[in-house]
Amino acid sequence: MKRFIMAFIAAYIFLFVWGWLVNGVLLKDVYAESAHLWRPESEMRSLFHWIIIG
Amino acid sequence: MNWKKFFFAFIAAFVFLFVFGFLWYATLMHDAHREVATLLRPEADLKSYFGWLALGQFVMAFFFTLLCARYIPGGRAGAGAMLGLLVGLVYAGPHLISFAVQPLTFKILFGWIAGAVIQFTIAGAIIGAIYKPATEHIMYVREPSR
Repeated sequence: MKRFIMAFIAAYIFLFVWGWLVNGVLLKDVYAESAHLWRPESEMRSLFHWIIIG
Repeated sequence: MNWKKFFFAFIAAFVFLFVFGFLWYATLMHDAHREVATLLRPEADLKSYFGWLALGQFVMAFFFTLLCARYIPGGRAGAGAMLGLLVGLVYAGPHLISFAVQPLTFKILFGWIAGAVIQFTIAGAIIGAIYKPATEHIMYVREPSR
């Protein structure tokens, strides 16, 4: 169980950082081209807990 | 790997995923999807993208069958269903994130999550029931004590 928790935390941190780098930084301009498909940034920030859970 | 059984399990999974996807997402959730029509392609355009849709089902069915065959080498519907349940729950993560960044409704969010969990649990049971390893490849090993 101890190993499971450590592996889970490591995977969570990696997925979070990787997701931020790829989707939040690398693909930011690509997403900006289709802004009508996304929530406004202020709305996304208010729903940030869904990203953390997901 | 028992490729003959793998092939039958893959075909069964592909057919099931396709039919379930049509029933759940295109029929049951049709009205829910219409509420966010601007996020989705117009229905008239969908026909020209049918090849991509079929490819998506193919990829899901192939790699999920591979996952079941690789990690549940003995087969069994129950074990396949359990792996499918976990894969369906993995899908819940991206759906929650999609909800945070796209103007989706709660109805769509829960519909997509429930759909993925049900779909992969049943697909796993089907694959587990069909796929069996070639008998000459069954090997029993004693797990080392920890």
